[in-house]
Amino acid sequence: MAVYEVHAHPALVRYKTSVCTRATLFLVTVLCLTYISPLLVAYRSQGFWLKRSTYEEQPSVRFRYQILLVAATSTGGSYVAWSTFPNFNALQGGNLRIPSVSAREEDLNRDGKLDRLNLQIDLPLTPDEQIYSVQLLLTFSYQLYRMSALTMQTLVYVQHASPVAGSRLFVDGDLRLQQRVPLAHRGVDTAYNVSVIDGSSPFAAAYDLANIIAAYQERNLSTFLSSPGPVWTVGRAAGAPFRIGAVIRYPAETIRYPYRERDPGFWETIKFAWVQYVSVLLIFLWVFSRVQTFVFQNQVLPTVPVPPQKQHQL
Amino acid sequence: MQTAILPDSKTPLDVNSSPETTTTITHTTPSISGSQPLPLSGSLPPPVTDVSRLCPCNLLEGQCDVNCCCDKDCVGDFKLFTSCSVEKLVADPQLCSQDTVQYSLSTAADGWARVQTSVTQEVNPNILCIQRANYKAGLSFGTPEVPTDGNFDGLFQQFAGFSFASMGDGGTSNQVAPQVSPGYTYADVIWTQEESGERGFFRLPAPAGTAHCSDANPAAFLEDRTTSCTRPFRLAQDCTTLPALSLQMYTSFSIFSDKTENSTVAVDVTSIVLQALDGTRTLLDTTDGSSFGPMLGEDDSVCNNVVLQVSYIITYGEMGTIVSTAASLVLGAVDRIMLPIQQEFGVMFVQESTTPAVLPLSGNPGYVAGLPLVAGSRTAEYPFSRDCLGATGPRVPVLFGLNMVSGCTLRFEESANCSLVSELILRVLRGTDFPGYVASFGNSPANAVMDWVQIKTQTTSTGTTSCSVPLSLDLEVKWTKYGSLVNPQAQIVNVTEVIQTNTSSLSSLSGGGGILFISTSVTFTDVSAAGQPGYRAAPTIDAKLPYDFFFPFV
Repeated sequence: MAVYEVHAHPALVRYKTSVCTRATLFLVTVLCLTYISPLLVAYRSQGFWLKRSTYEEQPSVRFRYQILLVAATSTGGSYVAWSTFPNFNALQGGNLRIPSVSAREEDLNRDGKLDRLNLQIDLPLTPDEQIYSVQLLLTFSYQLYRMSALTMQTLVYVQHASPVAGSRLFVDGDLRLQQRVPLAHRGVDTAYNVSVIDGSSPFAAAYDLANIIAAYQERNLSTFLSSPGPVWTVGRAAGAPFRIGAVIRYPAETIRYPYRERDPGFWETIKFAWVQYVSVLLIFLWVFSRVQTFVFQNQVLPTVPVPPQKQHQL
Repeated sequence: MQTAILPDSKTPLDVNSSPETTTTITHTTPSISGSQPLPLSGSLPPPVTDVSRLCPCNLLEGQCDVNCCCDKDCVGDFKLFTSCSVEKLVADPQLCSQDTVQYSLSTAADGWARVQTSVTQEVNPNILCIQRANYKAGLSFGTPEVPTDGNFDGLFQQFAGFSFASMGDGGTSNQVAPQVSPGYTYADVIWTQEESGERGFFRLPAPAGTAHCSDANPAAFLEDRTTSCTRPFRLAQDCTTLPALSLQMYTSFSIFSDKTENSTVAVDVTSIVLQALDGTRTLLDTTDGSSFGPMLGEDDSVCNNVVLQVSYIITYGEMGTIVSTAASLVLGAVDRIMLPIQQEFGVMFVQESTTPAVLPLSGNPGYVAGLPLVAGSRTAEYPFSRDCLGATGPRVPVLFGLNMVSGCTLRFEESANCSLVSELILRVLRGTDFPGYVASFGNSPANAVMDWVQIKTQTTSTGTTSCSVPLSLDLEVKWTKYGSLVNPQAQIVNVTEVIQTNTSSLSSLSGGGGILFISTSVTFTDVSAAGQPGYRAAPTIDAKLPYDFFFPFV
């Protein structure tokens, strides 16, 4: 007659003791070790409380239609300049040269955020002039919405100089965010929503490129043009304008932001801490349950075991 | 162009096709444009949604667009096509079942290309496609509000962003500032009356964008400023004609003493210094009434009386009125190798008062980094020039916190008098009046003896060589932070002048070339003790048992 297992179930053995015994002391110790040690392990292994995180967002960038252009027309140092600031143009006197500018901002994927700027500047030159260097400042309005509502005015500086006179300068690059400090995760941030170039100032010091760049680089948030480098095309026909072409793309940015206590970021911190804590806790729970089973099963500490079949009577 | 006036029509390129066109290509000559009237103000033609009437590559009206297979003008020219520039047109890619027109070229039996057009319903494989659009308007742009005379400004406000048209904004803020007080306020443009009677503003040429002088830079009221910029010119042609070189341009106007422009103050020329070609300067008597205009020298190689430096001192009284203006100029001779010249301009504002001018402090009380050390009655200086035995080269003040090094070269001959050379070098290194004391604080008064630190001299010489000359002078300034941790004040505690003389013979030092390098340097050393973090005392339990607690036992 073949015998087979019809059914199996674990039997529960209860161990009883009174309050002031060694078994109670043991139990308290084990409980403390089980639940506090994982906390220490998780904390000591670094990164328990998440303090920085990142998110990705495509900024809403608009070209502010502010241009400042300085171009050297000879190796001796003569130059022509133009900007969209009337005060700067008034300072230039005879060196003012008004170019023909065309600009178009495109929304390629039709998501409502502009994706790139196409800018073309045709600088007319007299036949005896040649272009050896170009300095170009463009300003942008830069907005982020997802975490903190950030609005700022930013700058792109393009400079190229060549010992050989050129006919065309072409730049193609990304407008990237330079972030020195993490952004707040909420609130409105308009600290840098001020003009990068003070176009209302009639004083020449306001248009000194070194001053502008130095003041701009002081900022914790700024933008720069990330590009493989300008393309300088040599060989210009006499009478042809010098042509500056620029394609500036507005890609999505990875933005750092901090977690703070007592706001929505708090629960994000707790969530990641909980994940770490519980994963370590599981190991400790298993180990200490084996330890407890060993201790009580073998009566290392005196307790009163209640076998499964006797439980009904108790 | 008719097509350009339909900003939001879904298919603006196709409004010219005749309405009789059906879903199959009929190869009829389409009607020439002009049959449809221009949209009236306030109404727009309905968007074209019939996919077979779309033809985005049809750009030439009444003519055939090459390789545009949907162009109805190309009936006879299909034979010349090599491919279709538009092969597939989809009405709405979001719908699950989408009307599609496909154009393809096939070769007929006679060898000519022929366009095949097929209108089909394609099934969209995307699982998130729109099966049935119960809100058709949601698939197209909303009907735009057509600008009219009445709503144009409102629409412009709503949609207009940045543009080149706004480039003039904010450019005239200085001119339209409300005149609250008749006097000038800080950073105001100072108005002048030119010789011709025109109204102008007080100019201080400055570099704008490049290093070249921009003559249109206004000076700001109460902003002391010195500028230097380069002025290129052609010597023979521009010497007498370029106004920027002439003294007249900088002195022949008068300044309105306040913004009401009732009274003017003329510019007094207090001193004119003439600079010769070799740099020597002589003070001129300004009362003899000569004009000092630029003049070409003999054989047109030198231009005399070119303005090299102008410094104005403007005295202002109460309520921002200008009381007097004084100008002192340096006119110089310029020859070909000095072009382009560097011009320096400065303006200083002095309050009209009885108290004498006070020296600016270098800190209050501790030194501020970047300000000159106070030494004796003047600032400590250190030399910097190319040739040690040249004229007393330019000397720059020792600025607090700035380590500096410079030097000069000395052509040395073995036969030279050693002690004479040594004395000469030392004089170059230390300057004409080397100070004996340095103020320990930036605001040390001259009569507080304890506040002044004596400069110690330390000469390192081995004395093994017969001829020892100083090769370097290093000014070591030891300073410490003084006062509270949050607001430390810099205090100079020790200044040592270390003079190093040669340890081997001079000819071996110079490598036989006879040229020695004499260096001078300034070193600032922070000797302050690190701030000690204060710890709170650990709490102690002051719970003593009563002295008789164990009474019977002890």
